[in-house]
Amino acid sequence: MNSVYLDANASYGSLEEILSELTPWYNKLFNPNAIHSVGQEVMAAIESSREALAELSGCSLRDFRIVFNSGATEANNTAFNLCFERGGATFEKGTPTRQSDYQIVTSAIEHPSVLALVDHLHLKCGINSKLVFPDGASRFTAESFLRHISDSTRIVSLMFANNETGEILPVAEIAREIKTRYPNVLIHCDAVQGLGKVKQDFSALGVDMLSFSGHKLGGFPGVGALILKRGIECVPFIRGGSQESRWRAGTQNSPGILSFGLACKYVRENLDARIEGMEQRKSRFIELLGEMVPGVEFNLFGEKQIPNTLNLRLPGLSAADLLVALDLERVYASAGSACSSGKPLAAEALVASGLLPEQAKSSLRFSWRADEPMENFEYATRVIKQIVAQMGGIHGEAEQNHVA
Amino acid sequence: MSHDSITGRIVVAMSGGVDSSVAAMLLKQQGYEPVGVSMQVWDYRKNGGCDSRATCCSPDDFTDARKVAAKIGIPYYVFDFEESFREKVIDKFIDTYKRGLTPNPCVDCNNKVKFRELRDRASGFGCKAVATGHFARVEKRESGYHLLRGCDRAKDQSYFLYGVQPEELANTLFPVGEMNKTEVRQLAEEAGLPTASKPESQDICFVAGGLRDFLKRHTDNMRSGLIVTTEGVPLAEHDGISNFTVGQRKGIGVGGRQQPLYVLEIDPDDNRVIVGAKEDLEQRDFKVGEINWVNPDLRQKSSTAQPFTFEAIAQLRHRHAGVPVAVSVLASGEVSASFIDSWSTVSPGQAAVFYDQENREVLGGGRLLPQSRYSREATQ
Repeated sequence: MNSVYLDANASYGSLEEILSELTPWYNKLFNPNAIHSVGQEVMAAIESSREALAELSGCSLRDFRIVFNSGATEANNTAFNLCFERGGATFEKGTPTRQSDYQIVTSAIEHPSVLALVDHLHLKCGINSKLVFPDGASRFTAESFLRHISDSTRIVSLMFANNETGEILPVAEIAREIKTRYPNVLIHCDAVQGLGKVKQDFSALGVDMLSFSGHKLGGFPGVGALILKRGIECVPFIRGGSQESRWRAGTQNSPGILSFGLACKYVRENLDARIEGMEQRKSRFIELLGEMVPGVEFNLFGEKQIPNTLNLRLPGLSAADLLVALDLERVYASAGSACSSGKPLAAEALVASGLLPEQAKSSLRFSWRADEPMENFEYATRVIKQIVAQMGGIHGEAEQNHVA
Repeated sequence: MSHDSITGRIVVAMSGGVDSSVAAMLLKQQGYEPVGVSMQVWDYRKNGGCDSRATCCSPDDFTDARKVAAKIGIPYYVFDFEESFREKVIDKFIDTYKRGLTPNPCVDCNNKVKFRELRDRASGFGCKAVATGHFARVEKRESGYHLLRGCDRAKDQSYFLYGVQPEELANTLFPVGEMNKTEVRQLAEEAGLPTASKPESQDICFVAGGLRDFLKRHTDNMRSGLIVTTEGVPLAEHDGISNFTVGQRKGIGVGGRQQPLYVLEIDPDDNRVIVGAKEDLEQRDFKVGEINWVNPDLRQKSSTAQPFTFEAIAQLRHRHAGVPVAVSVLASGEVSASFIDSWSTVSPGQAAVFYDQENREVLGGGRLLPQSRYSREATQ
């Protein structure tokens, strides 16, 4: 039974290659914060994982602090929270206490863990937020961000690469311009979809905080990291014990952290081959779709995209139904995020990116691992072709020329 | 099973209750490839009603359905039907109440959403038939497909299914239709299905949080007005006409009378409830609109534009035993019926379903039309 996993942006799936190094830990996962040696051994492995993430991301532990937590959602929450908590990094003594005086600026295509958080901060604390939408073909520029930033801006957040479309944002250029004009603004980058997919020194982006996720790289789910420039004052989001240098209370998720660290190590050693593998699959998939599925449209945004993601639309067909049909043929893809009940929502990031809601509703996201067998892309394309026929074919859409 | 022609992939509507759970399990055992689908028709997070009283379509019910699907080993999905459900069921429900009638949303949900849209969408991924956990049966005869009451008369749900199209019956399965409820529960228990002992759903799913609140939010029917006699003499105040149904005796709120009072008519224009003695409620005949003939012969006959008459058993509400009537179909397609022996309360807006004289087969049905006998409009 053929099955094709094309949802690596949701979860990469744990790397086979790290399993043999993980299994010996199974019955040795004692409390890493304990005085005794068996606990210290776990702590040493956690520190190695920190080192491995530092090396893969380029954020050296001399200049950055790496805090392990439950995932990028927690990392994003922590990053925003520390900007608005009294005593936090950006509250100088004697500054106004009214939080409504403060402001957040983010791109409009951020992950829900940022956008929903921004909504919450607005409702709960009255903190204003400005969303930066892409500006035609020039997409996201420093200028488009600076238009919204003012002295009251505490934090600017922009993602490295969009999870739905794979669009890479020019974070370094934007951050540089912002820092020149507003040196006190904290800049946060949700870089989850960039790690292990491009050759990038993330310290060179010039941002203050970065969020990463373990299972998007090839580790276990339930582990992530917030990377902070040294000097940012400690404001834990989850309070309790003094684990992770007081930054994150609660006993560390040691199996998760170890899997994350081992994935970082493996990916760093094989980065070129991994990126090349992803790129080859992308070219092949685009080629196959072009040949076999006439009428398919590609949702390509920005100058550069990560190499493992392809967002496409099948005009006139419903993404929700397509996903079911694909699943029944064991082709696993996605469209938008899923809410708790499992009901798929039209990808809001696609609309924010510039699609019409109707186009977003017929858009699917395919994202693959570097080692997904090549022939699986042929199988997937044949299945897409067959489903399109079964659903009555692609209906031409009235092109409105709004896609950059 | 009478459907020899159906093979392979079948969509089975799973509410998270025991009947549809067992239906899915039986299909799997019979060698079909059931695909479980729950229909999200109402967003409880947005519209309220997320408490334990919600009877289906709540996140908890989806969790139950998902567990059952995993247990019996079939794929399972949640489909969003919110938009069409609002348009085709809820809007009509609200509108019917606004007109002073008593709606029957389950009929609309079955006809327009479950057996039409679900079928259409499922055909897109290769499902040729739709199955549900309804207590009803489909029988193939020479003349075509016939819709019958479920074997368990106490649980029979054929009343809610009269709107199905005959050609749809050919691709519809009711796997528990031959069973009684006890057997269904027993099968669920034996198989260890997590829904085996789940209580029956009673309320209309989307007003599980309370009909009064729902109507208050969506209509202006829930304002006080007068309860009057047939002569227009005020007796008391009511707290909203939608709290009343024609034929209702209890809870009218007029005490101290020798003869019990019944709701005779609801007058939305004047926001009045007209009450009277039981005799005043009596009527010998009634009219039915939005008729759908399910029986192939009657359907054929009705298409000829020739008037015809026949005798049938009319069921006028859920759990009504049915009474003998003489049905006449006019050349225009209009349908009226007159009671043969005893009469029964006619609540406008409710479904009138005609069964054969054995009270076994659904011949067709429609909506009871309002009749203004006592309101101002009638006396003018």
